[in-house]
Amino acid sequence: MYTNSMKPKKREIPLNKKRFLELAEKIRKAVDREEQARSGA
Amino acid sequence: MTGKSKHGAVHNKFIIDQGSAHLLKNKTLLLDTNALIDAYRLSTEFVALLDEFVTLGCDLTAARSVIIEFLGSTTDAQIIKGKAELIEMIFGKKLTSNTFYLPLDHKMPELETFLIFSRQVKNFSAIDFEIYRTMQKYRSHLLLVTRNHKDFSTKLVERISFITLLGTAEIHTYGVYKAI
Repeated sequence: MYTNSMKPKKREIPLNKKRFLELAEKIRKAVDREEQARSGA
Repeated sequence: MTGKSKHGAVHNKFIIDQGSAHLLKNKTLLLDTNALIDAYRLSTEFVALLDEFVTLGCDLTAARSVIIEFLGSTTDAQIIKGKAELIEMIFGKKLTSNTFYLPLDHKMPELETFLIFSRQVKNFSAIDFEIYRTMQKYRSHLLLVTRNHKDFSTKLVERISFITLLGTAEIHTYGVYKAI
């Protein structure tokens, strides 16, 4: 049973595409650095 | 293959299967961990797909264990903070919001539910099992979007559509699944 009260509300935080892409790049680089450090490269 | 997609048309950053894209309309999409990883690995393509989900009237949600797995796979506090902000932008709501997760009861699953799930997977995963139970509970409105095709086989769920992200050097295809 799926009721309206269970249904997630629509977007409360707007999608700022510029910020999203900047943040994604920052995460991508940091994750790659961490993975390289872990593998001893 | 360019142009803004509308309900299954071809886009230069992603493709939603034309014959079945209408089945996603006004549904809630449950994103798996691999989709969240693509949000920063294939960010340009993922943002374009988010736009299409809005056009289709889709809400987005995730299982609590998926969010924990996504955030917890690092030892760097800055990565966790960045991922948390990214998640809030993807789903359009605060992680602390009461409406972030779909309610799931904490009763012990029936023996049959365990067996149906475990018989079709290679290795039992508590995260995948939580996803499966969420799909079962909200089967009328909820669709799973995942690249984990092996652990959500068509013995367990119905594959109703598929989505491909067209990265510069990678192509990632998701199944869109519905609980049987």
